[in-house]
Amino acid sequence: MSHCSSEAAELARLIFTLPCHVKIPEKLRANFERRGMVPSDEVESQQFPRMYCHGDERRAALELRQTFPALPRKSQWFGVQLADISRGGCRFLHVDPLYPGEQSRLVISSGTRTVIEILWCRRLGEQCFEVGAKFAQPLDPSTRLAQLFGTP
Amino acid sequence: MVPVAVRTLLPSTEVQFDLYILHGEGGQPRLFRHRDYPLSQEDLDKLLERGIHTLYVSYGDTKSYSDYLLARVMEDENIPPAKRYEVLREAARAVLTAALASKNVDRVVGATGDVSGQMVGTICSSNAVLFDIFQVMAHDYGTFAHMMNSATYAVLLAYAFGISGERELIEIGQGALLHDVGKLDISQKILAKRDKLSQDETQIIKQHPASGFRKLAPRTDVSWGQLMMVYQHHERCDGRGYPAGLLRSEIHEWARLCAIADVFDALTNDRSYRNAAALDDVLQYFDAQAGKGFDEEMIRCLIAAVKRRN
Repeated sequence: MSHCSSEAAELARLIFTLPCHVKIPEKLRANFERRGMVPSDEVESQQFPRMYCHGDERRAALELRQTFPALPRKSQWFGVQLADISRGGCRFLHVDPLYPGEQSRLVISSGTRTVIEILWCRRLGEQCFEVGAKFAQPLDPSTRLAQLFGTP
Repeated sequence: MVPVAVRTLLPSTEVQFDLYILHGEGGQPRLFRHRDYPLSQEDLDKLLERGIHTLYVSYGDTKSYSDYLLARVMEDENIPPAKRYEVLREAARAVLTAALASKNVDRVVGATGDVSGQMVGTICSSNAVLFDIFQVMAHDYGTFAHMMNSATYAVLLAYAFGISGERELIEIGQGALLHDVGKLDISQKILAKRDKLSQDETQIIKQHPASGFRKLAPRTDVSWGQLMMVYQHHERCDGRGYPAGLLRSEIHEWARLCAIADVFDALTNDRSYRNAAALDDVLQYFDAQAGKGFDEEMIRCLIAAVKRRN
């Protein structure tokens, strides 16, 4: 248990040491400062309630690794910005495009580490790509998400 | 069953495939000529006199039919480039139609590789001109016709753009043949709809670049450039495309070629919801789009290539 906690703390520290080079376009900045529950009409389909992320919750670390033979990826960590999250997936901002089906690891500010699969990606501006991803396994609602949102 | 044009057949003592004819109101296939039975000029003439321009071979015999056609082209050096291309096209139709019907991605990728190799060989060796090829293209609209036309334009445009390595051209041709592979999962009801698509149907159509990419990305025999032709062929240089809304510098060069080839074929062919545009109008459209939706230098190459005559 204490080993898990220290690993989570270590991962949480990792997030805050990684630089994030995402540049959110000025006109879209307000979209990424919202709080609370994401209205259901903003998401195509959702199995779980989805929350906007704000403050430190927005910081996350993405470890890219090679998924496809034709797309070489060295294992490398990047700082990304979480826009919103649910038990089943998340939306985040990254400096470069990612591709549907790519698998990576994501660490969120609570120290929770999860494998994600990229679903879609679209360009919002220079050095700003919005990415939709699903978690390989839904997050455990009783622990890490509780820490993240303050509610179970 | 795969259709074969009667005009592609020659009298011979034997062919390597059974030929079928469609019979009755339901169009049931009936054996017309067994592979061991001679086919005479008189037989062929009679078919044409009766207004029968198409016979059929079984999916299992498509490779034999394709080989038969290609052998004819290879044996006769006097066949002009456009005619050579026309025969190649018939051979490709047989192989690709069978591969598509199988819905087996391995088979589709294999067939597109073979067809692209033959296409690039034919185009390069005969110094074919886009305008001549355009004249002999089938301007019907169907999956095979769009695949083949787009791939032909992509290779001719790539060549005009200065890409001359045979290996690279074959890859481009194969990528263009595969560019709509994501549409294989979309129902014909939506693809052939004459009325305006609903919002949901439009969303389904817009998913085909990503679903094609997902289908091919795990493979080791498809290159990154080819994957980008599949994933990015609806991107536009001004950022108004999909799925990612990328700008010119972020779109792979081959995908920019493929986008032009794709739209060129779409505009010059009848679709379920509109008729083909005249070639001059299509060129005018591209001229207006140069540097906006499409790569300016590539558009200049396209216009020059279409206007060039032998």
